[in-house]
Amino acid sequence: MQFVQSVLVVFVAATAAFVLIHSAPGDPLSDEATLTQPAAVRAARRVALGLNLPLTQQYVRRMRAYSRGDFGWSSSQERPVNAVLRERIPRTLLLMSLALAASLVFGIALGAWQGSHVGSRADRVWSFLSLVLFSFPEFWIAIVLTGIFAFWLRWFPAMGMTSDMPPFTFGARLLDRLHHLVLPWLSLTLVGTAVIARFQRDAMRDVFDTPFVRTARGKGLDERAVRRHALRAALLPVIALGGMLVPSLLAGAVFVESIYSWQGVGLALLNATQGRDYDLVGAGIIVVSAMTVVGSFAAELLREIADPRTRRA
Amino acid sequence: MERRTVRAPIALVLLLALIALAAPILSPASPIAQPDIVAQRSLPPSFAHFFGTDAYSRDVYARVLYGARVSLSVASLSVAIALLLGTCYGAVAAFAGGAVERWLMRILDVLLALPRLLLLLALSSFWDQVPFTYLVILLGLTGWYGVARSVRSEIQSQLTREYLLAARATGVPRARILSRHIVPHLIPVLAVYASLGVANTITLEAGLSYLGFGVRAPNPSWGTIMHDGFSVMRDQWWLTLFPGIAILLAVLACNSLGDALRDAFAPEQVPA
Repeated sequence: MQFVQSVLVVFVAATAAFVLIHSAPGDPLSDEATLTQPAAVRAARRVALGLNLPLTQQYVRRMRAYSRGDFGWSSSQERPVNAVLRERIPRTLLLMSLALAASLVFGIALGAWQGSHVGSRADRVWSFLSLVLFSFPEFWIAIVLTGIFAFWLRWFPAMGMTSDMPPFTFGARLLDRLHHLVLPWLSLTLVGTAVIARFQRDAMRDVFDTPFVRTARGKGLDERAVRRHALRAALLPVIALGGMLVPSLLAGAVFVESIYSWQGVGLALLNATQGRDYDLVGAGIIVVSAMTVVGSFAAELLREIADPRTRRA
Repeated sequence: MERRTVRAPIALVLLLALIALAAPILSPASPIAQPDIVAQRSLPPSFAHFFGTDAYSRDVYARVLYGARVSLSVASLSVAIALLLGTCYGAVAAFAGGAVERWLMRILDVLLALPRLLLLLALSSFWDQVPFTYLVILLGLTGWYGVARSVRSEIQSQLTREYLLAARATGVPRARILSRHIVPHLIPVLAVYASLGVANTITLEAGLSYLGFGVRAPNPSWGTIMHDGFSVMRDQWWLTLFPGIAILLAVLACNSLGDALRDAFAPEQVPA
């Protein structure tokens, strides 16, 4: 069922991409260079691109191409969309996976601690702080971090993925890349941590009210062991949330990559929408939907590992 | 005891709405007038211009105040659309039951997987600047999935309660069940969703405007002011800082109102 659902999502996303490409103003032959070509050349190119066919046939052709894994031509980058994706996706995945991992670790640790000290002064302070971070738009947090750490303290570079003159040795190159990664990573991580900590805190608080915790305390289990049991139960909703965080991290990546000029898929898609490069935008919609599905699928699997009750026979 | 009080966030939300309404009284300057683009351009904050001026000599204080009107109205109107759509969809699914409900929910899952920001960016790029009404509609049309889910599950949980079975068994008319039993239970769900949704939509609209896909209106939105200030952020920080604070305050107010409402409406979940 999960599989059918995933296929359905990708299919709908592909259809949405097609509708988008065709309802957008202009077509691949409406750029200025084409307009100066002779009419016969233009007509020949229309036929070559299949733009003369009825819409239903163009739809079938596009779907066939998608199912072959061919996403078309990126007019803003003047190379196949697949080449753009192959170059850009790993960079975004690097940023995103580091941010997701850090958000989960920090968020669960903070939230679990707060959840077992509900109402204390420290809990109130952290609750307020995470509410503030949660309310910060990603682009605004990225600007604040740039202002503080790049312009004022000058600890980290304000933009780019490498220095203008990258060092020669592998180790130095790696350090250089990491140095550029810190601020974009931190921007995404701060927001992600706040989201998870808020959720984990409430989940933990609720678990402390359940009968099994009362039983554990009643039989004299020491508080640390109780917390360990409670944490495991309280992790379940957070794992589901982690899967749902994938689309919001991707959306955040669009802003963060554009502010730090991190040449990932988010920035490529932003430039594509600005340059009306709808083949690339369409591919982006499909890829992001697929990643969203994969995220929720992974969350489901993790939950089954964490909670035997949800395992299917 | 950790009940978050509703009063402070409500006061803050009302204050922001009041500021938006009273912008002409609070600001003597016009947000779009360019009094002197030579002598008064890019001035730092002073008593004459509390938040400084931008590259066209426009008063940033006036722009932020009037910007509240655009940002807050886009967010609240589109959330109103989302609430209406989501409630109808969720209610239809819950009452229909069976295969219809399963399919409606499956469609919802698919819609939820589509990337909202990317769709909005792509659709906004059809115009040079999105007309106000279209932006509100686009945000509303892509924002109702969560409402539909919550409404469906709330109605479903009410439908199986004993008091409702009793009401049906004793022949209470359907319309009365709906208006006296179902709707009152939806109000908390919708109130919480409305405040969190407005917070979320302010962020989203600010982000879109910031990326240059701003709304076409005589007055700027907060995101648009930040967009104008991005390239000169290092020297003319006031173009970024003040609208940024406004966004943060508004989103914070709505989020904390949502949190407080959730606690207030679900007292059984809050340990005494």
